[in-house]
Amino acid sequence: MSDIERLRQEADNLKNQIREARKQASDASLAEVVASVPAVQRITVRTRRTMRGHLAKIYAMHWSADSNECVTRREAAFGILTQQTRCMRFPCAPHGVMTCAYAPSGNLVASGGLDNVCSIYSLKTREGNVKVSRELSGHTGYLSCCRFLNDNEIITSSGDMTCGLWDIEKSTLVTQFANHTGDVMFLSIFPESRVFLSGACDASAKLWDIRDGQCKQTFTGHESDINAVTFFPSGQAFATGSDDATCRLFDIRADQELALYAHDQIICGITSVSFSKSGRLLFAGYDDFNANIWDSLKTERSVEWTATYKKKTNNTSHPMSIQCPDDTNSST
Amino acid sequence: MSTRVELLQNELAQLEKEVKMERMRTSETTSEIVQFCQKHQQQDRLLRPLTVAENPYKEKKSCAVL
Repeated sequence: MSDIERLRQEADNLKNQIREARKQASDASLAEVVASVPAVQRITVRTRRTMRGHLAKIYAMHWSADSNECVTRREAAFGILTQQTRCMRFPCAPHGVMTCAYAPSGNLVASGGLDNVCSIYSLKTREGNVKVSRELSGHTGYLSCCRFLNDNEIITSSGDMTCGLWDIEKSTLVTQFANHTGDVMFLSIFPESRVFLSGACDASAKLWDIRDGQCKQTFTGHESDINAVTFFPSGQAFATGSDDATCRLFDIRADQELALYAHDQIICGITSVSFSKSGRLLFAGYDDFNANIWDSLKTERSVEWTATYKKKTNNTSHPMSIQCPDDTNSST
Repeated sequence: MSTRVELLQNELAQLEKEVKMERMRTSETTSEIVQFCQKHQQQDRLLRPLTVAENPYKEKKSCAVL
């Protein structure tokens, strides 16, 4: 037997052991446990505010910690910081921008994309404008996502199949997270947590230890690229959205898939996912300009929410990013 | 660029770590997820809609100054 065949056999053997261990741990299904839980009442969704200013596809947006401001990124050239009553527009690198993030403190904003660089912008400058503060280079592929841990640390994910933890002040890569075998598309962090999640084009989601760089767990099940991941508000589970037209709920401590959110009529990929504050509602944005709100426990659709914004704007806007920062707001 | 053997060795090393994990029972973990949802239901305004008084986005009525 060749080396490769031997290694493959050993790997298959271990995968079977893991599959068995997960089955052993699966002594109750989510459906059984929620049988007596009442269904969610019908949800009405109303557009509160349409934030204009971008002329082309909005690729990403991120809410501030206090839910009063959000930053959005356009395919090229500029970002828009929207506060409740005013809007601040600022130029950023003229490359295809794919992601943006707001620091929890509200002092910084980050963005990046096809330039492979994560640019950090300072919002609290003496002159009152927005300025580039640092440029974090090192990734050899596009920057797909970034999230601040604090004003000095940011985690990035990239088309080069790795994630990175950066020291912003020194502009250096502190830890590299390498184990995915496909472009990493999204990451999710949880406050005060030692771990973070990534979703990739290898159809797997991975849980990483922030400090030692190790991949702790790998979650398989999806049949195509994972485009979005988000922690359940307790931090003990997470949801994913994929090109296989399904969202899934994974349990971290039981190390397995708990639920599938799919429908025969849904055949397009999911580009973004977000939980409501209690975790009961799972918002998902789809490639066909629609969004669905799922009852996360009963795996039923609470509202099929067709894009009303499609009628309002001149350009088609694409629900690439859904965020539920607090109880009252979600934006697409 | 890693060779196929190196890639398989990496995969194997990772699987060897993951197989050792102590997994909790889903009966326990799913109950906790359900409990979390129920505990925070009242604060989830998407589930329990705001009253007109609580709504920060309600249309303001004009007031007439006599």
